[in-house]
Amino acid sequence: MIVAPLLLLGCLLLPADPAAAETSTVEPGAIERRAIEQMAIEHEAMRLRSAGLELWLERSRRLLRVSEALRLAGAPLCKGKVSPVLGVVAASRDDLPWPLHRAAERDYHVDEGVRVLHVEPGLAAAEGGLEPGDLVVSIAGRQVRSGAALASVHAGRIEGHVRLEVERRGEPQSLEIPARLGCFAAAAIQMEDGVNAYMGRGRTFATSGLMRFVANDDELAVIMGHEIAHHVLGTGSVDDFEADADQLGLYMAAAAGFDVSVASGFWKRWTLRSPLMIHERRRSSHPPSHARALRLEAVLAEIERKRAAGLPLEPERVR
Amino acid sequence: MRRLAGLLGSGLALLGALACTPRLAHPPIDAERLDATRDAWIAEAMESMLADSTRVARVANRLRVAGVPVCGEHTAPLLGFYTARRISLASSIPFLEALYRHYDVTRTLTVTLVVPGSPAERAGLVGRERLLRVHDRRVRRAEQLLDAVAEAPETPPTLEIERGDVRETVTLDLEPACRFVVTLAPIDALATGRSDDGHAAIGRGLLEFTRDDHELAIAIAHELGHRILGGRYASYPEDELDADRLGLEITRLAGYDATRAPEFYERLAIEKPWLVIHDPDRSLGRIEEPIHGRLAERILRMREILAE
Repeated sequence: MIVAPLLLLGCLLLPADPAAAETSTVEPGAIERRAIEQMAIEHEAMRLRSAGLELWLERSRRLLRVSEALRLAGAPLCKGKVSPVLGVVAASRDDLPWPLHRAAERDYHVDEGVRVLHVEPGLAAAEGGLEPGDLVVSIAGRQVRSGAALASVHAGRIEGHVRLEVERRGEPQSLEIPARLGCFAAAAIQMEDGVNAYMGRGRTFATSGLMRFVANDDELAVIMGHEIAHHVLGTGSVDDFEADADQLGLYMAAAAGFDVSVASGFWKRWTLRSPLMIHERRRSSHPPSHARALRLEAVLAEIERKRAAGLPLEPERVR
Repeated sequence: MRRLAGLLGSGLALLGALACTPRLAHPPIDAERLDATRDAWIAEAMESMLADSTRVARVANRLRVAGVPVCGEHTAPLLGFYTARRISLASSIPFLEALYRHYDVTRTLTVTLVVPGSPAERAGLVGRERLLRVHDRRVRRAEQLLDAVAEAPETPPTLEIERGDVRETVTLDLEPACRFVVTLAPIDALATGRSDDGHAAIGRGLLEFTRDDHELAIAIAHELGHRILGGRYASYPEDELDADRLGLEITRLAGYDATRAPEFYERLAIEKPWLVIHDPDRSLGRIEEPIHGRLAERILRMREILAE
């Protein structure tokens, strides 16, 4: 959770025009309408929801590219809290918001099973021969019933390869996917308007609102690095918890080759549209955003010093 | 007490250290820069919010003035300014306090925003004026101002204001308009709605989603359509379809490009598939059809209306 509650700003700009009475000048049904065929409406609705599914898939692919890069590059910082980085967007019906169920079934045959929708070139699943359209039955000997389960498989069961049992065009296939371990855990899109990212249930999440708001992949990497870092660090006191995640997340993003100099500017841009993020510490789960931005600048300077000196990109730990 | 809290704190910190990976050493930040950054950001956020609110008000006012033939009895003199009043609760909310300071908001009704090209601007209002009387009647809250103006729809509004220590009286041009005020709601939702006081609001999320003033006008005009229709929300889908028809007419009258509406709503439907749950036989199960769930039908109807 990153966003501060948005309240009270509405108090500032109260309307100063005559009050609205709840009376109507237009009676229901007074405006004439011709009948539109149900079929035409259904066709239009399906077309729009198919387009909605494509947008979800496009954002899932973008998030996947950024998140898997962070997980792989961040692995040395994650101290055993790792899982196989597959490079796959896969979903069962339950992984999708319900308005997309029908479109997903029609366009990609997504139902109870876990259908592969995208395989990122150059990553482990592509190398192991997984293809879009495959139905994933099990991973490392364990049945999977959702894309979420596939994303959060535990590294304890993995040696050298991950065995994936899939169904391809109705035929069972057994694939050996190279086990490339990266930070726990895989990311998913949450279809919400709020500009936000969070972690939980064995995954990290970015909202549609965030995907619209980020100007580039570097900004997305800063925020997703923070969420992955939460998984790695576990819980602590509020201030340290968030500052630690900011710091480790920035190191991960830098190690993955993203331009982390965008971090404090990104926080500013976000804050200017959601100014309650500049709050006092009391009653909040997060430190004020201006403090986080300044801390990130200090971390950036530290990263640049280490780079210049040829030192490993690793944050200092408290001894 | 403090010592106890400190002990408790270090106890928790110890537990944290035992339970988790070692904490990181944070590079220090300069406390002076911290305060300066906060103040600068608050000031910039205020300016940014003012710019967004002004844009909404400018487009809305053009719709409200041009929409009079559609608004019928819901017509009243346009003022063209927005106000705020300091509430006692503010001192416990540092950000709100900063906000009030930025706009010089007092316990007296204070002008926060003057809409470009409005009667208020022509009368010389610039913002930060304190509003004392309207039509010789003392006003303490926004609603009293609204009532005073609404009760004399044929009379140019006369305001007694205070700027610094100087009191003066200004009279605004009489400019009839739809009486529903449109405000910016500081929420991420891609939505418009009815504000608590019966006026209209547009979410900042939707404002950011619109590509230009034409799309913004289309979204606001639809909501004005709802306000003209009054409290009717029971007879869905008639309300939505009627609001679309009225909204498109207001958009056209105001000189915005109403033909952009189907494309705008398509983009919105793709972004929010909840808006296109066409499920007349409830075969999707477990869900109630949302009130705006038939956007597909609305888009087809908009195309028909525009073709007429």
